[in-house]
Amino acid sequence: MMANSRAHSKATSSEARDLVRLDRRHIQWSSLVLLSPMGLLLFLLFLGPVGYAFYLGFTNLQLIGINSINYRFTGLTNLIALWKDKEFYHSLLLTVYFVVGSGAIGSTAAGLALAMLMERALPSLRAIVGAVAVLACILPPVTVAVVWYSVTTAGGVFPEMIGMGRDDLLYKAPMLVVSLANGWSLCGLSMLIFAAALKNIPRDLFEAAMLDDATAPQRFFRITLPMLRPTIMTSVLLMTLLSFGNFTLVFLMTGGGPEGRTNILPVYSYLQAFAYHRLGYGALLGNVIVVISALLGVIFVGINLLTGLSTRRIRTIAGRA
Amino acid sequence: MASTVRRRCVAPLLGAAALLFGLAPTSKVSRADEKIILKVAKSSDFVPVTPEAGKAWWDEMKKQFEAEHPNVEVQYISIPGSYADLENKMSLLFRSRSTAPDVAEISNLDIGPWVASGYFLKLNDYVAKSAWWADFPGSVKAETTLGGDVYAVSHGENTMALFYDFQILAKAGIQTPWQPKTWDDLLAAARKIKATSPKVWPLWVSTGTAQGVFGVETGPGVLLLGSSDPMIFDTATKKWVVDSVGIRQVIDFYKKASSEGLLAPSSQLLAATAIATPPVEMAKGNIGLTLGGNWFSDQWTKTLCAPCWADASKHIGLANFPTRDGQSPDVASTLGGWDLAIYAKTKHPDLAWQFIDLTQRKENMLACDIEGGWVPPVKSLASDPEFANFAPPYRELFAKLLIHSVGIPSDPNYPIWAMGMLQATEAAVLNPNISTDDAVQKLVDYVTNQLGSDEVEKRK
Repeated sequence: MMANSRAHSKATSSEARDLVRLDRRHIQWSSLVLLSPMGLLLFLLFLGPVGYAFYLGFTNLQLIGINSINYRFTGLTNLIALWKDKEFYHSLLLTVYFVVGSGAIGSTAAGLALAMLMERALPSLRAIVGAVAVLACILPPVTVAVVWYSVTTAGGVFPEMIGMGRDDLLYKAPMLVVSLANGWSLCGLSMLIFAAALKNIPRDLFEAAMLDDATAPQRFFRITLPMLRPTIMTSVLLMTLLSFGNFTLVFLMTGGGPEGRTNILPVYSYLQAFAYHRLGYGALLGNVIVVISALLGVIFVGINLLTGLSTRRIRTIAGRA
Repeated sequence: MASTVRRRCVAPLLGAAALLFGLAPTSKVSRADEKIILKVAKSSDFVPVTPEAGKAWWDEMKKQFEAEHPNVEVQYISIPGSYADLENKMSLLFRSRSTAPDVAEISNLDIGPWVASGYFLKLNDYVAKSAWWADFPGSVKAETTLGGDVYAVSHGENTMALFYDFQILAKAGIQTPWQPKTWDDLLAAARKIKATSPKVWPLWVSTGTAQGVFGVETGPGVLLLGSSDPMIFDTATKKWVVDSVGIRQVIDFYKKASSEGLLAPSSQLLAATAIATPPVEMAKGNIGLTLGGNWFSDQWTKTLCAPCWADASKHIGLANFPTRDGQSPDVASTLGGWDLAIYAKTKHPDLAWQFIDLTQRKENMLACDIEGGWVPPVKSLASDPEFANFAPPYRELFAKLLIHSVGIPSDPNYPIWAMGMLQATEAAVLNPNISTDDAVQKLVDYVTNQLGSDEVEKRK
């Protein structure tokens, strides 16, 4: 009996080890084997090149010149040059305007507005507007640049509409125009994200609010927006990162000009690396873009974690109550 | 179970091993009839006037060379895109011996940094034995000679002059043929054109950072050469000139022209593709006066047809671009060349030189400059009737400018000065109310910021 009970308790403890608490996070170590091919690809195609780019950012490598072959690690020289580079700060500020203005805010707000309007639209109109919005976001950046260039320069639709005649709207307000072009090209994607999210908001919340005589703005600010908060965060991050990388649009429309007024970081990095042949310094500017993008990602994950934590705490408190 | 797994695994593994073994390269036996590959990197669409014309000429060179060297195969590396794309791709090719071409087509604009990279072979011994080298004007030889060593050979040059529309000038009451003596003459003519032909763009003098470094050569660079002080780089102090009487005169020209509405629309003048606009617009009668290169008029010929304009010479005249106050040498023109260089570590330097030598033969050089839209670097060819008659009277006039034209300083930091100058003149075009001091300050700030205050100087 003692042996039986010992065997039973052994079996029980081994069963207990095999049993996994599904309500707690756990790692299946065997999954690492299946993930290793992807990990290898990630290293070879992303981490490796990014790491090498980080190294190049601290060298005096040139595209052509005395340091094109015989280049060396120069320590903090490039960083000091970056610190003193007024054009870098100017470029950073322009990047903030562009990314936040047209990416984070512009295309997100436009996408949300479009999605909400589409909910109320006639089915035929919804199909047409939806198709146009999606078309805008799948167009190659080259096409977007050419279209917006032609409609905002002398003789184009927009200068004619606002009575500018032979003037070029693009050259009068270059950052505004490239921001509008970027926002226009991204709002379709944002619209798709919000359209799906809006369908997941329970209708009975709105019905209950209407029964309480809540106005449309109240329903929007008290129900729609809070329920869409995770989607808004996702859209803001996605649009920001997509705008960060939108070198083609700005380069083709203005080349970073006129007078450097649209010289966002990706364009400035290109200029340094391929126009001035300073590959090392251009790589450092590119590294700044990577760091900023990574920071944004970390902030997003952090906000998500905090939001998740606070939601769980509220549920726990509500459960105890 | 384990033995089953082993059996299931072994067979495929053995099969894979056999396949790999079969595919593995075997040791090669050198064969006498194996061809030597001579790689030539060149522009496919930016450098020739039309891609088709360029391809036709290069194909002919390949045919001729392979006929004379049956054991050699010429392989072209055709690089599409703009000037910057050509230069960038070329520089990436040179980063590895396996991808580096034996012969490369490069612009004289960046000959300095190319040479400093160590990519090019010195050609002193080769050119010394070549009769045609003696026929090159000094300015053309100087383009590709650094520190007394020759690193490349020109196979075509570009010069700049002033095109004018006969009908538009006649309507403005200006007699033709016309040769302005000063910049004031130019602006006065533009004013008359504006008054009598309001829908026409009176004056085309491009600038703008979107064109890249090349934009200086076709716009502000010409003006600076015609100013009272054309210095860009002070070879005595080794500093970049960021403020001078000459630079201020250039900015004032753009300011005045822009403030009076004499220039073409900014979106055209400052566009990245500005260089391609004038030949098309001139054929439509949309521009009164155009500062343009020799390739503009070549584009109207039946051969190149970009666009076709058989009777262009009845509508468009050509004059020298004047100096500001008519001072000597009376004419302002930049000199831009496209050269052929040999890779320093090529395994076939003699063959590479023989290919370049082939391109320099009279009939080939004529064909190259006819189809490439260039002025021949060789004086005797510049006056050859076959060359001149391809696009009369323009070619003859542009060829005469060869000895008056001046090249751009070949220094690694020239692109920075160029971008600063383009920014300053661009500001004058977009905002003609800007003060000259503020416009010049853009050049000063830009170059100083990039190179440091030790590398710049102001001349008064």
